[in-house]
Amino acid sequence: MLLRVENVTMSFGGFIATNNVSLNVEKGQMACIIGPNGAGKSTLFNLITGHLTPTMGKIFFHDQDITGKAPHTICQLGMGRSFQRTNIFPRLTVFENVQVAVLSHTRKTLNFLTPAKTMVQEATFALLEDVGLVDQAKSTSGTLSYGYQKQLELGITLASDPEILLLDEPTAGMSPQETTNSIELIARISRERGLTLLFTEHDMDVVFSVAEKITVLHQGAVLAEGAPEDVKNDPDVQRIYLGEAA
Amino acid sequence: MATSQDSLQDTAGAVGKGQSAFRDPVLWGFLVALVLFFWTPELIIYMEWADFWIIFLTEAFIWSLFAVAFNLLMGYGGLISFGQAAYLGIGGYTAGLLLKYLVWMNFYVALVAAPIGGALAALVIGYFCIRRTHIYFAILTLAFGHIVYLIAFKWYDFTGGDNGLIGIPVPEWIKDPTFVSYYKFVLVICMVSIYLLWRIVNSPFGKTLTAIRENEVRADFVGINVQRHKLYAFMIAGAFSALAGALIMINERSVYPDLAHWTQSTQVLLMSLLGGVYTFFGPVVGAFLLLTMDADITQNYPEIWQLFLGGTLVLILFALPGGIVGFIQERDENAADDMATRMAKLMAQFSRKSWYFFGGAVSFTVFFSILQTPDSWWISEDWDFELLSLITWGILPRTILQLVVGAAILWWLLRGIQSFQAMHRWLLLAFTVLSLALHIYLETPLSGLLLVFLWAVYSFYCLFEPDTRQAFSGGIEVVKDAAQEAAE
Ligand SMILES: Nc1ncnc2c1ncn2[C@@H]1O[C@H](COP(=O)(O)OP(=O)(O)OP(=O)(O)O)[C@@H](O)[C@H]1O
Ligand SMILES: [Mg+2]
Repeated sequence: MLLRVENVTMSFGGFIATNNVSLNVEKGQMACIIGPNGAGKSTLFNLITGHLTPTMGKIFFHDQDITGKAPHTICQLGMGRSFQRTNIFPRLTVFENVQVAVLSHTRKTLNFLTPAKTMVQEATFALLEDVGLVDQAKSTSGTLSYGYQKQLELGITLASDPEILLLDEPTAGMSPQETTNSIELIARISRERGLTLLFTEHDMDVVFSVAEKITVLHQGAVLAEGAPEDVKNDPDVQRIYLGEAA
Repeated sequence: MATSQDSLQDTAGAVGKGQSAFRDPVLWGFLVALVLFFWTPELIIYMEWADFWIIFLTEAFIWSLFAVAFNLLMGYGGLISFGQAAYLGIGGYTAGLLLKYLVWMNFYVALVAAPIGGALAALVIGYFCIRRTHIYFAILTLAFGHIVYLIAFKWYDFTGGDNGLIGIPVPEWIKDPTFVSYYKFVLVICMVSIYLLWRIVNSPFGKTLTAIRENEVRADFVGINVQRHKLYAFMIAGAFSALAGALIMINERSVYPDLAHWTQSTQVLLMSLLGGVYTFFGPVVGAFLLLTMDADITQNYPEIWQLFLGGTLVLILFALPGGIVGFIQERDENAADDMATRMAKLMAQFSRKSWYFFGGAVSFTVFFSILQTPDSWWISEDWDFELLSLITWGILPRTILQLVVGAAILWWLLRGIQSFQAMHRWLLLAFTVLSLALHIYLETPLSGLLLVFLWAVYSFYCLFEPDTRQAFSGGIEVVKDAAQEAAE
């Protein structure tokens, strides 16, 4: 088992955002977490990636206890994440955005005197090529369109050569066309690199086209879990979630 | 897989680096500046004001180093420290105390001890400060800075309290009455240090620091240990600030608690803001500009110096948020623009910026002309304004002359947008030089002179930019095309 979340509870001063959640992700799986707004999806991601420390419960990655570890440590272990709201380095160029991530991954950030300009160029351009941003390499990333910024974020995430990708609503705010493109991109890249994927998504078409396993969160707790077809036909799920959406 | 690729890449890079180390234009720039400034004293030593200039430059270099070190934190790390002067004080006192109390202490050892002391102090203070961000970080640095100041101020037995440490022994050659030896010593140390800082901000560490400034959360999630990098940046800034402090101490052969006072911290903050925090050399420009204005005003009207500082700060924050150098380098570029649009934008920027520079230069000179004139009417108490007396003091003619020259240059500049051919280019340069000469001849205050100088540098800088050069030579058609396109 690549990722194991065991009975994790998160309470924000009494408000329980994550309630006794257990979740397993196998290597190579494409797993999806769905749930209505405020169900606690982002909170769960923040717990797994170390941004938050759970009130109770444990999280294992590669059977190693990562509960309460710092995000940079968890990232170095091979977990990459993107954010629901784009999270890039806005005043750096597209190239620099990815380059910094590559430098960090290759542990070169404590080099104080070598000019960085020419370092890890090839690896950086390879990543830009992967996410289709070579032409934008010199642009200031903050000025890019929203879709490009999402692509860039994927590039930054991939730079740390992760085994598992946690994508929090990778298509949020995109047009249908952009959504299709970026889902294709993500699926292609994770297939090529043999990545494990754990993502959240609101667009049900996307979910059912990509996911191999779906976990439904509701009010912080797991409501249902299983293969897409089973989840789709689950009466509880239909009542609270799919029914509302449809 | 990625790792092996990278190592391949890096060995290739290393070979390239070995060949191109001496093709690094910045290194050459530093060397040229070093040589020029090194021989400056020989050129001006027979001038009447040679001492003044040499002392001034010595101070300006030390403050430049301090400002660049400070800006490593503020501009590159996004860490606004309000207590940076603490390290100035720590450096000054470390070297000063060693030299004063240990008879056998070698001068150079003491000098090296200063940055080490600064780095260690920054390690301890930084350990607490970097755990907080934004305003809390600023307040913590201010608090620690004040603690350092109070220690120096109150611990009479050790630091001499507010009497300071005086009569610190230094080698004979520093006591050279022309001040030239020490000037050269400072020059070399500061140039080397600033070059080192330049390497640091352009190294992977520097890039990482900028990434942390831009987005701390994201930096953490690409595997960067944010706190550790911040702490190192804090230590580097502390070390170089302490070196600057030691140089100030040696210059005065004494050190007072005031060196660590928070007003010094705000001064260096202002220098960085003035020159431009997102640029490397901005703080140097800011340091020179502020010290010139300081020399101008404090000499004649010490009581309004603080007022003036405040006014300048407000002006910068509103008119030039990127500082002077940031303003020069700013490019309104959009990847989607075609060549013609880009040229049109560049030219528009050039003329707009020139307006700013001339507005600044003219208003500064006018302001200082009035200030420098004895009994100038708007400061004097009895308020006896008379146009006639302005003329007798030579203010009015001088100002009018400056305005005329300024306007003429502006006119050429604006014409330049339509037809910037070779001849006009030379005329522009001639006018710049002429106005500079005029300023010197009229003994106008330094600040106006410096602004004009900056503008000249800016013009030359533009001519060296391939884009602008092209716009100058082929300017007419390109701009017309853009205008036509816009019209259609
Ligand atoms: N730091 C916090 N402090 C207090 N409450 C929080 C905090 N973070 C999240 N919450 C609350 O936890 C609940 C779950 O939020 P979360 O962002 O995880 O939902 P989500 O499933 O990602 O929703 P969305 O679909 O809108 O992204 C929300 O009610 C939110 O208000
Ligand atoms: Mg969310």
